[in-house]
Amino acid sequence: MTRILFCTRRRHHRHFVPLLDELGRRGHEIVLAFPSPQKVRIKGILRNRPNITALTYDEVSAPRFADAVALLRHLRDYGWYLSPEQEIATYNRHRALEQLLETAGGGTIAADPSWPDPPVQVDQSMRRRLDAELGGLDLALPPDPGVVELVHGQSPDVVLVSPLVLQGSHQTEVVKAARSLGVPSGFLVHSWDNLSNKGRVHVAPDKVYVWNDIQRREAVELHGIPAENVVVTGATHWDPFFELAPSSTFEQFCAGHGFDPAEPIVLYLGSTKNMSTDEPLLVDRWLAAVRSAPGRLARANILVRPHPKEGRRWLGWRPSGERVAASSPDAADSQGLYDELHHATAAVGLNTSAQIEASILGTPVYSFFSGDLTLGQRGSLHFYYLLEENGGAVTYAQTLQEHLGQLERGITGDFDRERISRFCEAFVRPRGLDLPVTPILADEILALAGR
Amino acid sequence: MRILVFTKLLTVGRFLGVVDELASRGHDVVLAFAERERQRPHPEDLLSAPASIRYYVPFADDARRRSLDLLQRARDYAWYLEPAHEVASFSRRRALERLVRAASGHRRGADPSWPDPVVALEPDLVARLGELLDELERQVPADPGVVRFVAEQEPDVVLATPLIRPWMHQAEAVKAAAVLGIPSGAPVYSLDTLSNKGCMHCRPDRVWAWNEIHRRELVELHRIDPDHIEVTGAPHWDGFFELEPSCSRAELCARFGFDADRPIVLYLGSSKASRDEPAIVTRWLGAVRTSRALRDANVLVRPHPGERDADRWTEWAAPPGAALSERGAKADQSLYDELHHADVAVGLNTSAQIEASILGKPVYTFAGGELAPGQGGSLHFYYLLEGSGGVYTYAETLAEHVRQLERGVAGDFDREAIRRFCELIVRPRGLERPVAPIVADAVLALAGSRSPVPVET
Repeated sequence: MTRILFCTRRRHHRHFVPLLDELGRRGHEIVLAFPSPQKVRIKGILRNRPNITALTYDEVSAPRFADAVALLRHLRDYGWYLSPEQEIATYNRHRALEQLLETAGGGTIAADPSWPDPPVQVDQSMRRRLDAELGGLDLALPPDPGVVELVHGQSPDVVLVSPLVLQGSHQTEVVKAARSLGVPSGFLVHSWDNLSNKGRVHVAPDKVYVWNDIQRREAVELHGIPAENVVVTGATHWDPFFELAPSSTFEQFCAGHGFDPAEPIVLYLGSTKNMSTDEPLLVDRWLAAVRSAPGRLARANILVRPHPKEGRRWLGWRPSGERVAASSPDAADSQGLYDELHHATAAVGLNTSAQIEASILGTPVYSFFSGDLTLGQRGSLHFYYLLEENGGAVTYAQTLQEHLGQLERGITGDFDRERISRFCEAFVRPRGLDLPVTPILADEILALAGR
Repeated sequence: MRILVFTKLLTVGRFLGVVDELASRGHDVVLAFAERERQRPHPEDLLSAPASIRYYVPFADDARRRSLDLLQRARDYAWYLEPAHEVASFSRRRALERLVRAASGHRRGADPSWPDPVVALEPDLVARLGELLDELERQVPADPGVVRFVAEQEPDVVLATPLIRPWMHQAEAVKAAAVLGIPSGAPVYSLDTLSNKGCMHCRPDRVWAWNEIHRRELVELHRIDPDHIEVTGAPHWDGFFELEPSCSRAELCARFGFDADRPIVLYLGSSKASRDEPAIVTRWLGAVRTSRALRDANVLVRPHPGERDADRWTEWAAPPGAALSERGAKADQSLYDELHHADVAVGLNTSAQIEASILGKPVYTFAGGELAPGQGGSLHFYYLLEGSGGVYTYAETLAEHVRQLERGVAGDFDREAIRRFCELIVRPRGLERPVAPIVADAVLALAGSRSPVPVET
C-alpha cells in the first residue's frame, strides 16, 4: 500500500477524479490537501472510498513571507515571459506584469495600459542570468515550516502537486518541503495551457507528468526540467469522456433547441474571458456574418455554449433570430458537452479546451481572428498548438470572410477526419487512442513512490 | 574570552586599537579575512597586532552568492529610493550601477543617461518593497561554510566590521553567529558607513555607533532596535589624539617652499566626491588668488590617500605659492603636522575634515558642482555643515567661500563650537576619554551575555 499526499485545489482536483479513483480502487491511501480556507469537500465518486481523505493546510505560515516569496516568483515569471520563446505571448506577459505589480504594491499599483510591451527591453543574456539568480535565490530559501510539518506529519511515500504553476498558489513550498524530507514529488499537469501561460516552475519536482510531446518540450525548454524527469502519459481526465455515449437522438436534440433537423448544427464554444474582452458581442457579429453567408450556413442551426466559468458575462445575452439557441445550463456537464459536440456538424471557438473534446468526437473545429475583441487569443502560446498548420485540429481564419468559407466546407463534410484523429491521439492519448490514460498515470506515480 | 572579528585588510587598521585593548586584558582575538585576501600585502601594524589571523571562504556555493548579491543590491537600491535619501543622488546612482552589474554578471553598468531615480515610486510602495526584500533576505540561511568556520573558532562573540559594504558578505558571519547562539556585534567603521554604503543586510545583537548621528541613522534608516545600539565614540582616532607635531612650522614651510610669515591653507582631498578633483582645485585656487588677503597665502594640497596615485593627481602641477603634500611614511603623522600648522582647512567631503576638528581647525567647503556629484549627493555631507549641527562652513559660490576663508585665516571662527562638535562626533563620552577601552568594555559585556542555546547547523 502506498500513501500519497496530493496537494491541490478544490477546483483542480476534479481533473484527477479518475486517477484518484483508480489509485483508491487499487487500495492505496490518498490524502487530498487543499489550501485553507477552502472547504474539505471532495468529488462525489471519491467520497465512497474510505482510503481517500481530505484536509486543509496553510500554504504559507506567515503572510509577510507569502508576499515576499510571491514577489520573487512573480518577478521571475515576468522575466520568463520576456524570453524569445514567449515573444508572441503578449497577453500572458501583460498578465504577468499585472500580477507582479499587484504583489509589489500590495494591490495599490497597476500596469499603465499605455506602457509598451515590454516596458523595458532586457537583453537575453541578462534575462537568462536574472532567471538563474532568482531561481538560485528561491532554492536558497528554506521551505515553509508549516508545509514541512504537513508533509512530515502525513508520512507519504510520494507527494503530488497540481496545478503548481498557478499564480497566487504556493505549491512550490510543497515541492521544496518534499525535497527537504527526501520524499519523491510529482507534478500532474492538469491542463493543456499550464506549461505555457500560467508561469514558471520555480523548483523542479522529481517527475513531471505531461499530456503529450508538446508539453514534454515545454517542460524541458521553457521550464528547464531535465528530459529524463518528464513522463508523457496523456490526459487522464478525459478518460470518462471517451466512455460517454449520446443521451439523445439528433431529432430529440433538435426539438429540445427548436432547431430544424434538416439543417446542420454549428456549435459555438465559448472561451474564458481571457480570450475575448466581450465574447457575447463577438458572437452577435459572428452570427450576423453567418446569416449573411451565401450557402447552407445561412440556414444552419446555431447553438451557443458559453464557457462554464463565464455564465455571468452571458447573463444579458439572448439568442436572436431563427434556429439560434443558447446551451442549457443543464448541459454544462460533460454529458451535455458530449451531446452537443456529437450532434454538431462543426464547432467554432476562439481558444478553449472544448476544442480538444471536439477532436475526441471527430468534430471539425474552426476559429477566427476578430481584431481587438480577440486579442487574448493570439497572445497566448498554447493557442497555436491547436492550429491545423501546427499539426492541430483547428482551422483558423484571419478574417470572418475566410472563416465563413471554411465553415461552409466544414458543414458539408469537407474536412480531414484522419488529421483530427491523429491530433487527438498525439495530444490526448499519445500512448494509443484506445488506451485509457488513468492506469498509465497511476502506474507511473506508484513507480515514483517505490523509487 | 575569544573574540572573532570578521574584517578586511583595507579597514582593519581602524579596529586595531580595540584589538590591542582586548589583548592587553588577556583576551584572545582572532581576525578573520576572506580567503581572497590571503595573498594580498598585509599592513605592518596588522602583522604586529596581538591577534591571530584566519582566512575563510565567504561562500561555499558560488551560485548562491550571486543570487544573494542580486538580492542585496536590489535592496540597497530600494533603500536609496526612500524619502530619507532624497538628496543622496550620488549614493543612489552608485547603488543602481551595482544593481545592474549584479544583474548582468558584471558585464554592464547603468546607463548614465538614465534619470535619477530611474523609476519614481510612492514612499509607501518603496517601504513595502524594502520590507519584502528584507523578508526574503532574512529567510536565506547563513552560508554553511561560514557557520562551520565560526563553530571551529569557538568564539564567545563575533564581530563584523565594516559590515555594510557591497560584495563583502559579512552579513553571513552575523547570521552564522545567530545560528550558533553566539552574540554578534558591529562597530561602525566610518562616519558615512550608515548612509553611504547601502543598507544593513543583517541584524547584529549590538551596533557600536560613534555618535548620536549614527544612532539616529541606525534607528531611522536601518530600523535597528534602539536597545541594540550603544554610542561609544570613534576608537580609531585615539592614536591621533595622542600625536604631537613632528616638525616646527618653519620646518614644514621650508619643506614646501612656503613663506613662514604667511598663513597656510590646507586643501584636503576627498576620495569619491569628485570625478576630477585637481580641476576643482585649480579653479578654487584661481578664486583664492583673487583675494587680497589670500593672494599670497601658502596653499598645501593633500590628495586623499586613496587617490594620490591616480594619474589626475600625479600629472597635476602645483602653481607658485602652492604645493602638493608629500607621501609621509606615517600618514597620520603627516596629516597631523599639516593640520597642526595650517590656519584653515578646505575640502569637499572627507573624513580628514573631522581630524581638522580634533585639532581645532576651522573647515570650509564649497559647492563642487557637476565635477563633485559625491559631495551634495551624499547624505552624510549635510551632517557636518554649520546650521545642520556641524561646524563646516559651506558656500554655494567660490566668491562667498573666499570671503569665509578670509575670515577664517584672520582667526574669526568659533573655537568652542569646533570643540563641542568634535566631542559630539568623535568622543561623545568625553573629549579626554579614549574610545578603544569603551568599545572593548562593550565587546566583553556582549560576549559575557552569551546564554547557552542548542546549536543547530
